[in-house]
Amino acid sequence: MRNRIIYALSYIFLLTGSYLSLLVLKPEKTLGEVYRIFFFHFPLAIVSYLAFAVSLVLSIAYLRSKKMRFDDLASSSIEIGLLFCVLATITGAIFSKQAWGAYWSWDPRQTTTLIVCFIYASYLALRSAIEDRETKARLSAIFGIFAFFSVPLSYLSTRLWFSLHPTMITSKGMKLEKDMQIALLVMVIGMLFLYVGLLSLSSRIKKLEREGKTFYTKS
Amino acid sequence: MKCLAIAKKDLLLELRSKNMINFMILFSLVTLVLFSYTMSFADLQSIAPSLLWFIFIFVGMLGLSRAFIREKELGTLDGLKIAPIQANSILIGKIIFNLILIYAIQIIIFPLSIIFFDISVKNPFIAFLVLTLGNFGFVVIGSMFSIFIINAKVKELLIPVLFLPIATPLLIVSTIALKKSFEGLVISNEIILIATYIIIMSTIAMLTFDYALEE
Repeated sequence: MRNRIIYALSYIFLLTGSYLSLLVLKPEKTLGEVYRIFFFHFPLAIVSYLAFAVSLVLSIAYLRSKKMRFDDLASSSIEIGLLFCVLATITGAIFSKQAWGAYWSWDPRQTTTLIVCFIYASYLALRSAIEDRETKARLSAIFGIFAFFSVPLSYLSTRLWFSLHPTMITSKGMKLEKDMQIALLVMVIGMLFLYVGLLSLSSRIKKLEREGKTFYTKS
Repeated sequence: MKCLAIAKKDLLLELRSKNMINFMILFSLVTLVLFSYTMSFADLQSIAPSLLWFIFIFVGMLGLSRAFIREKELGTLDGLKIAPIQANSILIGKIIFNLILIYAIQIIIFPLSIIFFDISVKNPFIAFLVLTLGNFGFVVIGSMFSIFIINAKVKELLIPVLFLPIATPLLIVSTIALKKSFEGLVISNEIILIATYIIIMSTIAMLTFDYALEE
């Protein structure tokens, strides 16, 4: 029941947000119609980074308590975060083609997001490579901590890289008007509910799988 | 001081068998020669820093990943676990041993790279310092991650997959720093960033290694 409410809320917010951003808002002065993708790109990016932050907290909680529930949640959070991060990269590339003239321009933010995708993809690779459930949870929790702290370091290093290439655009310089802010906020809240819904669903599947396995080995 | 005992033990084993250091030196020499043979001298001046880092990263990944695999294969890992020492001493011992290996290679490869690549290095001491610092960072990460793979199905394949994304910030900054030191530019920002990376990653490694070792 609780899940259904969360899904319903996420549908309502995402639909309202899409309606506002795609149909109600007027075209932007410099970017025209294409800026509307920003209302999908930004919430995806923000929620993916939030998901990674949540996974950090859950990883530490797992290491301290050794409760499998935390591992289920942490790995689910990273899976969803990775999905959102990839989607944010793709929508960002489309946006960048129109705004900056190329799909990929090695902007620090673009580069960081790509590196983050690789880091968390390797988290999933680590998980799939270890058979024992307990070891898998323990090692991936540690890797999750390393992964999270390498994100700001990646950003700093790509910023430095760009001081070598001063011709690139480093700032979007987009100021949002009042009605745009509202649409953006609605989309962010919708994405957040979608994230919470997916998180609880995915972690429940993992819990059932785990219990199913122990049931098999017992009987 | 227990960490020094572990490093000493590994070094003694290595000096007797020499099965890692010989292979690592040979590997780095082969790649160095191949790189310099297949690329024109005009290009090498600008891409030499990246190539040098590639050599160190690959030789490091292949060599450093052995740190705990060998203990696991010989069955001595359990001995280390039950020994009355702190878990972190094991990690620090492995880091010291790996540092000795990688610095031995660095001392051989760096002068040879200047000869083979025919590059002009304005600040050889600074360049050497950058290599030393960067390799320190790679060794910390590499030694820590080698404990991850001992329980994995695909050991040798997994280490680059885990290591390269996490090491990307360090790789980017140290490549810039090496390039700048070749040109004789100031690199204080890069050094600070490398040091920050090393401090953060070593802190996490020290805090979590205890959990990585238990079973």
